[in-house]
This record gives sequence, C-alpha cells and structure tokens, in this order.
Amino acid sequence: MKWRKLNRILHRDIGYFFFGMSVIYGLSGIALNHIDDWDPSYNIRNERVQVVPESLKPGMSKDEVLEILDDLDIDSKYKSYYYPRPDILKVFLKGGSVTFNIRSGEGSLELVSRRSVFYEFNFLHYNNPKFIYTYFADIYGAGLIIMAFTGLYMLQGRKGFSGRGKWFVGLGILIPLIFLLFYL
Amino acid sequence: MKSIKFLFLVLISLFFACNEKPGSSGSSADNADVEVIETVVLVDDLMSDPDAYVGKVIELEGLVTHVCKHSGKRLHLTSAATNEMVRVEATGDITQFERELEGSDVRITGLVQKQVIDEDYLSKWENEMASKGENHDHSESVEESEQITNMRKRLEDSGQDQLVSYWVDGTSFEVN
Repeated sequence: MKWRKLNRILHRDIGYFFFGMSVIYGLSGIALNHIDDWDPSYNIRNERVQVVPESLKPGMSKDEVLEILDDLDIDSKYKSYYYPRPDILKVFLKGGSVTFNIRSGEGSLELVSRRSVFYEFNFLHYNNPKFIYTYFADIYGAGLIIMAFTGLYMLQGRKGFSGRGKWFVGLGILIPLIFLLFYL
Repeated sequence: MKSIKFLFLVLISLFFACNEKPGSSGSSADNADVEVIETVVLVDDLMSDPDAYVGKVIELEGLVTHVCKHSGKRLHLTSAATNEMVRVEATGDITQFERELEGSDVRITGLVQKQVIDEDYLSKWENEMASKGENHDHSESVEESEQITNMRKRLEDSGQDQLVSYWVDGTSFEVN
C-alpha cells in the first residue's frame, strides 16, 4: 500500500472514530475557558424571598423550617439546615438552598440545576470517570496528534502542505508562540 | 466487516474487565503504613482535639455546607450542632465533589493533615523561592509572594506566633 493511501485511511478513520470525542472536548473546552464568567456545568437562578421575621429564630426545629418552606411555596425538596452564623439560617434543598436573615426575614433563594449536555461533557473533560476512560482519553489525545500529522499530507500541489498549507501551519504555530512569549 | 466487529467486541470486553471501581474503604497503597481509626469520627470530635488525629486515616461524618464552585476540589464539612468546620480536599479516587452534595450528610475517608504557619515557615518558603532564582516561573513566584504576604498579615492580625491549619485529604466518601 502506498504511504499516501495509508495516510488518507488513517486520517479518515481516526476522524470518524473520534468524532464524538472531538465534539465533547471542543464544546466543553469552550465552556471551561469561560469559567470566570459562568458556571459551565450548572444553571443558577437567584430570587429574593421575604418571610415574617417573627417566624424565624435561633434553634428552630425541622418542622418549623418545613413550615416556612411551605409558606414560600418552594417546590424543591428539603434536605437539611444549619446556622452558619447566629443570625443566619441556611436551608439546603434538593437543587439549591435558601438563606435567611433571622432579624429582617429577608431571604435569598438559589436554585441550581445541571446544564444538560454541558454537565455531561464537562464530566468527561475533567476525567471524572477515571479508570479505563483515562486510557481512552489518552488514545484520543494520541489520535489527535496522528490526525494533525496525517492532515498535513492529505493533499498535494498548490492547496497541499507544500503550497498554501505551510503558511496556515506556520500561522497556527506562531499564534500560541506569541502568547507564550508575552505571558510566560 | 468481521475485523470491525472483532475490534468492537475487544473494546467492550476491555471496558467491563477494567472498569471496576475500588471499594469505599479508602485504604490505598499510599496509606499502607498509616494508622487507621476504625470508629466513625464526627467533625466535633476531630476539631476538639485535632492533633490526636493528625497523620491518621479516619472516617469523618458531617454535613456538607460548601463545595468549591470553581474546581470542586474541596468542600466544607460542618457540625450542624456546633458549627465546627473542617476542610476536605479531593484526593485519591475523588476527582471532584459534586455541587449536589451541599446539604448532605456524608462519611468521608481520609488522612488528617496539619500545617503550622509561623515566621520560620514563611522565611524558609521565601528562601526556597529565592534559591530557585530565574528558573522559577514568573507568574507562579508572583502568586507565591502574594500568598506569603497574605499569610504574614494574617499572622500579624492574629497577634499569635503561629497559625495552625487542619484539613482532611479525602480519598473516598459515601452519602448517608
């Protein structure tokens, strides 16, 4: 088999095989790049709530806490509660929490839910499954390198690597180098 | 076509053969020589006499009151009764703590760690940084310098000779 044919087969079939992984890592890579601007794995919604200050006090029982949640029509299921400070009551819910100021009765409801697709993709990107997935992700990394090299020799002539391809490759290497030069 | 089917079968077999998660005992090769306390320790027990547990593997129970939003690499385990709190780091088989753990009672297996921060510790750190010289990563050294400055300020503000920090390097956990 001629080496160019083998090169083309490798590039094509590795590309097919790792299509899913490329989409997963590409999308979650963009999401995680902006981690300072948003939570890439969770949707967070904040709401102000107000209860009568008299209904709150230190050392409340679970039933009293449940009563307050009931008055506020909070659908999320109760999990637990504690007092981070003597004047603050924090109630944990399935899918969030609500924090009350005992003196004023003001509360802050935080509802948290998983971002569909992003949560799952980030879960894989962080290598949370560990074990054999680690090796599969390593193979994917190696596959990307093979695709990069085989990609250089897919075409011949004016549109190939020896033609305009070398300029694109050079530019693609130069850009990260510039960042390294200025920021490292 | 036959070869593709064969490859697929091999991959599936590999997956089921190797994808066995270790048990939740928390014992690992790293902890082979470390004393393991068999009884469950509550956050209050730990924080009432933390030095008694330093360097030992414990099963710690408490309420998760905070999970680090950015990395998920640490959480706060609190006693709802007394508000005593200890930090737990994700190590070993724990890659990340999920946000959904907040508000859950958990039992975490891990090694109790201690760090004493005093002027001697900070000076040694500064000397180490200086000895690394120009080979040291610039942004890292700026970050370390800031950390040293902050710790020195905390030390001064405390009016004490040293600050002591205790935490647990968690290796596995289960939700109660």
